[in-house]
Amino acid sequence: MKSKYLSAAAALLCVAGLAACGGKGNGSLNLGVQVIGLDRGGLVLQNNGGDDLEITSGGTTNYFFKTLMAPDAEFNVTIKTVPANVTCKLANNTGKINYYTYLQTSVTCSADPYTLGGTVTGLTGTGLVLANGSQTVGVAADGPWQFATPIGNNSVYGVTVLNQPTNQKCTVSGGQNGLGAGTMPAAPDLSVKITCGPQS
Amino acid sequence: MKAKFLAAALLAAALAACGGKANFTVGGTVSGLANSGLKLQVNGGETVEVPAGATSFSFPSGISYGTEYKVEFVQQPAHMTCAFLGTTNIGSAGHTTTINIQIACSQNSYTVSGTVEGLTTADLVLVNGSAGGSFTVAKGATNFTLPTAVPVGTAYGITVLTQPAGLTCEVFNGSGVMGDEARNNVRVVCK
Repeated sequence: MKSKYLSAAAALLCVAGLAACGGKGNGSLNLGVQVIGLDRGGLVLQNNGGDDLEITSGGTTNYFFKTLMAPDAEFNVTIKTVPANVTCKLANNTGKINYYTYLQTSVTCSADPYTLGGTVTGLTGTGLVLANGSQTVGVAADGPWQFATPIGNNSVYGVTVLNQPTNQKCTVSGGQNGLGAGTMPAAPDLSVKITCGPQS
Repeated sequence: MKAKFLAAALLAAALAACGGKANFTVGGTVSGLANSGLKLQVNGGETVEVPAGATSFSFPSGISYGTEYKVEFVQQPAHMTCAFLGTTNIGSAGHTTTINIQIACSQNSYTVSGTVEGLTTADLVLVNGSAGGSFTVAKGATNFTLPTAVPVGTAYGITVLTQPAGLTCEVFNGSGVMGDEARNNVRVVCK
């Protein structure tokens, strides 16, 4: 029994000791940030203008600042560096840290989107439909075409003919790899060529 | 028997008198219901059709306090599969203030696969558009399956993103719009 009292006393002393040295940034809480949708490294976050938190790879993960904070201390998470061609938005990034707020800050990132398209030549039939996976676009005549929804840079793409025009056969070339596929650059890619001719 | 009915009637009256409900509507919420055809049945009797786009449903006749209910699917909507969340489809009227059966529906998805010929080297990478992503086909593989199944009514288009070392591969039957069964007609020929 004695030892139990002793350990309790020791615990009390520990708490008192912690409280005594409970200065700013010298506490017990780990400030976290939920990073959502990041597809590459290079994001640097700060808390109260310092304590750099560098995120070196993509993914949706929780990250924590190195410096522990005292309960109820003010936090203010800001973005120091955004990876090139990425847009990030902060949410719930200021407040007083406690059990409920230590992981409420989030940063949602997305790769800046750019238009994917190209040109069609030799089209005389009707009904040509192109696809980039689930994304489709109908093309009615020779000339430029593009998908309605732009694509995030660094994403892969691959254009195929989903529906051939009446009495014709179209083939895909160009794009980054010459076969109508590639990785989206940080600029519009309007180099996918669709060449239509007789069925044969 | 008579006494039982009388007791039930009395109980109902008493409940009504003290603000409780005597009659309960069997119903609830539906999410993701994009197609028509969903048909539900309660206690093996009354049925109700839930139209496309509906977010709630209820059976026309209510049930009285204390009556047990069990709702079941008689028919799934076209191209979709709906399921009850937990056991919300089974219960007893009055156990909760209102009966709230929860149903979640999602479009059926099927795989796209095919054969590979002549792949004697490594590093063939295929892509199913930006949303479908890319995937590697191993050296010596004779078949492949898209890593992500395709929902009914959604387009797919498989192309070569990276050619394997020293070979040129071509994709045949690589595009389509998913129907109500898996596709296994894609051919990748490498030379």
